[in-house]
Amino acid sequence: MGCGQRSRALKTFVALLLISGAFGVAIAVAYWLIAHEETTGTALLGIMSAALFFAASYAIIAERNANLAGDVPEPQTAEAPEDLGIFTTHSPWPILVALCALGALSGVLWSPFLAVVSLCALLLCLWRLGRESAITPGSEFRGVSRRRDSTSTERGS
Amino acid sequence: MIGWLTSTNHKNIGILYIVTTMTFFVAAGALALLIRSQLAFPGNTFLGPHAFNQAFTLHGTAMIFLVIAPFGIGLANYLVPLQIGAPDMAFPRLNATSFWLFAVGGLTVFGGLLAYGGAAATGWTAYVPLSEIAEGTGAGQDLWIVGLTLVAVSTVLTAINLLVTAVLYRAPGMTMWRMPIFTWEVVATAVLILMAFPPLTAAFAMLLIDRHTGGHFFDPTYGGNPVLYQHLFWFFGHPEVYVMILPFFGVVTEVVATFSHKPVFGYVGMVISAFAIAGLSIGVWAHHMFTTGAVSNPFFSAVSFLIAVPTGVKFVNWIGTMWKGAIELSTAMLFAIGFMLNFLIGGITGVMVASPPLDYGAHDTYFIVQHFHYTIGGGSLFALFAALFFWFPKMFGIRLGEGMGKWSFALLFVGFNATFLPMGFMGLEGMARRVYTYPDVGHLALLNGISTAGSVVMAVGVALFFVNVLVSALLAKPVPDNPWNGYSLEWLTSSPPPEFNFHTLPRIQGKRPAWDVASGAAP
Repeated sequence: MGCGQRSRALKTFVALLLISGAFGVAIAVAYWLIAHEETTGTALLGIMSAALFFAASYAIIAERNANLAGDVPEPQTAEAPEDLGIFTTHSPWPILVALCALGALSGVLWSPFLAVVSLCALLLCLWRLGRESAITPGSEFRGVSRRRDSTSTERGS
Repeated sequence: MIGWLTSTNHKNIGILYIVTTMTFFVAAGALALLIRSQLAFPGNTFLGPHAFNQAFTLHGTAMIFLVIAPFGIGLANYLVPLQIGAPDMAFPRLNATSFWLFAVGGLTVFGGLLAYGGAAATGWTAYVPLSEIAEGTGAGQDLWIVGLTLVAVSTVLTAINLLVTAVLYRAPGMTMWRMPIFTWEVVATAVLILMAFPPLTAAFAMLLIDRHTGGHFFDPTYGGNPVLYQHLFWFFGHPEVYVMILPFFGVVTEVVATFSHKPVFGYVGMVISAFAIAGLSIGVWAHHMFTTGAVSNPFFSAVSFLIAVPTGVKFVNWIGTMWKGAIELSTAMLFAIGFMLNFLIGGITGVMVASPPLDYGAHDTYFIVQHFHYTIGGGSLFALFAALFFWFPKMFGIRLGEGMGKWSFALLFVGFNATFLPMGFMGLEGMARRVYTYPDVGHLALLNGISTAGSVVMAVGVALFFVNVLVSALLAKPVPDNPWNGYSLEWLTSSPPPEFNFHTLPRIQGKRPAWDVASGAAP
C-alpha cells in the first residue's frame, strides 16, 4: 500500500471523526430543542436513520473510489503493492497520553494546577506521537520499522 | 516487560486487552460472589446497604464496560488484521493509545474503592437525580465518570481504527464479500460504536457540569430534565448491548462452521442480519423507559419486536451450518452451543419485556436481571470462552486442555443456569433488584439459596479455566498452525504469527482460503 493509499486512509479517519462529531452535535441540538416532546423518539430515529444513511453512503463511495488491492478478486503477483509504508512497532507515547488525559480530567474536577500541567503534558505527548508519524522512509528512528522488511517483499508470491 | 508496555503491534495489544479484561473479569466475579453471599438468605447483614450498592455498581460497570465489550475489541484487534491479510491495524499508535486509555480508565473506576465515601454506588446506569447529588455519592462517583469517559473515548478510537483497517487494508483478493463473518460483525460493531458512544460522553460531561460547576441539565427545579439523562444514556446503552454481542455472534459463527466441518450457511444473510441488528438497535433505546411515560411505547415496542427477526436469522444460519455436518464436540463448540441455548432464553425474555404491559410488571425486578444475564452472561460470556479455546493455539502456539475445558463448560453451564433461572421466578414474585436484602416471603429464600449455590459452581468453573491455562502453559505442547482445520486466513500463518502476520500470503480466491489451500484449489 503506497503513500497515496495511506493518505486516503488518513482522510477516511478524519472524515469518520468529523461524521461522529457532526452526528453528536446534531443529537445534542435535537435533544435540547425537543426533549420535552413525546415525539422525541420519532424525531431522533429520523436523525439516526439519516446519520446511518450518510455514513453508509460515505463508506460505499469511499470504498468504490479507493482502488484497493483487496478489491481485486483474482490477484496476480504483479498487483501486490511495492511499498507498504512505515509501521511503528513500539512507542512510549500512548501510555503517557492516557496518563496525561486522566490527569487533565481529574484536574478539571479537583485541581486547576493539575489540569493545566496535565494538559500541557498531554499536548507535548500528542506532539511527540505525531512526530513519529512524520518520520519518512529511510530515516533512522528507534522503534519504527519498515513494514516491507517483513511482509511486502513476499506478498502475493 | 517494557517491550510489551510500549508495543504497538496489534497482536500484542489484542493480548493485552484480553489479559486486562480477564483481570477485570476476576474482580467483577468476586464482586458477584459478594452480592450473592449477601442475598443467600433473607435479612442477611453480611454486607451493609452502601457496600452492597458499591458491589453491584462496580460489578455491572466492570462486566459491561471493562470485560465483555473490550474483550470483543481485544479479539478484533488480534484477529481482524490476520483475517484480512493486513500486517497490522491501520493506526498502530492510535491502537496502543486506545488500549492505555481503556486500562487507565478501568483502573480509575476501581480506584473509587480507595476514595473517601467509597466507590460509585448508583448502579451501572448512574441515573440522575441520585448520581447528581455530590454530597451523597462522593469522589468515587466522579472517578467512575472520569474513568468511563476515558473508556468511551478509547472505544471510539478503536472503532475508527477497526473500520479503516477492514475497509482499506485487505490483502489482494480479500474482497469485502470474502471477509470472514467475525470481521463483518466487527465492522457492524464499529459503526454502532461511532453512533452510540458520543451521546454517552456528552451525558457524562453534562453530569460532571451538574455535579461540580452548578449546571442544571438534569435538575427539574431549575428547568432541567432527569429524563434527558435516561434518553442520552440509553441512546448509548441499548446499542451497547449489541456492541457486546455482535463480535460474539461472529465468534460463534466461526466456531460452529469449523467444528461442523461445513461452510457457513447463509453467508450473505449473516452479514445483512448483522447490519440490520445494528441499525434497529439504534431505534429501540426507549424500551428501557416505558415506565417513565415520556416516550411513545407502541412505537418502541414494535421496533423492539422487530429486532428479533434478524437475530432469528442468525439462529437459522447456525442451525443450518450444523445441519448434516460432521459435528465435533470440542470445548469451543460446546461453549458455542451453550451460547445458543442461553442466548435463546435471553432473547425470548427480551421479546416478553419489549411488550409494555409485561414490562410494567417486570420493571426493576429480578426478571430483568435474569433476562439481561441470559443475554450477556449466558450469551457473550460463553462465546468469550469459546473464543479463548478456539484461538488460544493461534495466539500462543499451544492449546488448552480439552478435558479440563469440558469440565469448565459443564460447571459454567450448570452453575449459570442454577444462578440465573431462579431469578426469573424471583422477579415474578416481586423481588426488586438493587436492594440489599429481602423479606422471607413466598419462595424467595429457596430461590435465592439456589441462585447463590449456582454462583459458587460458576466460580469453580472459572477457576478451573485459569488452572487449565496455567497447566497448558507449563506443559507447552506445540500444536500445528491449523489445529482445528479452520477455514479463514489466520489459520494459514504460523502459531503464533510473525510480527507482521504473514511471511507469504496465499493467493486469496474465495471465502475460505485455508480450505482452498488444503484442497489444492489455491497455491
